[in-house]
Amino acid sequence: METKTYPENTEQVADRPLVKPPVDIFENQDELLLVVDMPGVAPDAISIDIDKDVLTIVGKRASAVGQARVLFGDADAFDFKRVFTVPNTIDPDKIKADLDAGVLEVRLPRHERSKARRITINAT
Amino acid sequence: MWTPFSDYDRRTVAPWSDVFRQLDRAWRAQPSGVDQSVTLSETPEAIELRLDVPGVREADIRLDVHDAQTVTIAAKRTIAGREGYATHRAERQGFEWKRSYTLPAKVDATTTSATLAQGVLTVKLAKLPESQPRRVQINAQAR
Repeated sequence: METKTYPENTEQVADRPLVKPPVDIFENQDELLLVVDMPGVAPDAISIDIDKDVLTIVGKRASAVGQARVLFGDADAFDFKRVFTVPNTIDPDKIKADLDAGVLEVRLPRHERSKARRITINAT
Repeated sequence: MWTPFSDYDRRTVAPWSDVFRQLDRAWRAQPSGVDQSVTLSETPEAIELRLDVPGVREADIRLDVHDAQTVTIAAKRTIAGREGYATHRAERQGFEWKRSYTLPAKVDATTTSATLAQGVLTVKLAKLPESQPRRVQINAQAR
């Protein structure tokens, strides 16, 4: 999980690392489903933005410890971030997301008109 | 399945292919996610341990304190595919994770508390009074 991703040839302005969380992607006739591990992120610290066909998921994780002395591990604040290109068959107005036990599920339903349907043949 | 030995003569390799297959299976069955993120921090009164366990339920976590100074945590998660969905990406991995930590101070196991919130397990271990720092009063001698 701890793969830090910066765009090439850029540097961070703030000392707030980006972490690429693992993502599962599923699809059926009705929707595209993204499942993202985002432990330690409050629901209001997650933003899901869609701009044309670019879906950006960011989760801001606050520092885990206050005044305590860190013996080992990394308690610093960081951002989870993933960016995906989604097909234009997605209806951006109907995107829904749930957060449960640190796992984010984003459901991207297809447009009604782009759903598969079977054509009935009229026998005469 | 390709193995480094696939390119050799089939007759030479055939007796071994079963061995390779089993080795390969054992390799793939290695518990993954061994690097669950753990943070251990300390205040004068307590030690706090935090572990990232996204998607793990209380029932799949075991926490033991031995001899007031060792804490053992075991956590498990299984990732199942979604019924009725095609899978495009499967980066999230299941794990069976277990670690023991020797703490830098003796703790009171009876007052240890653990909470699971937003996929993070937080264990608070209160230090025993004898492990807490004590300020020594300096007596000024009257001349």
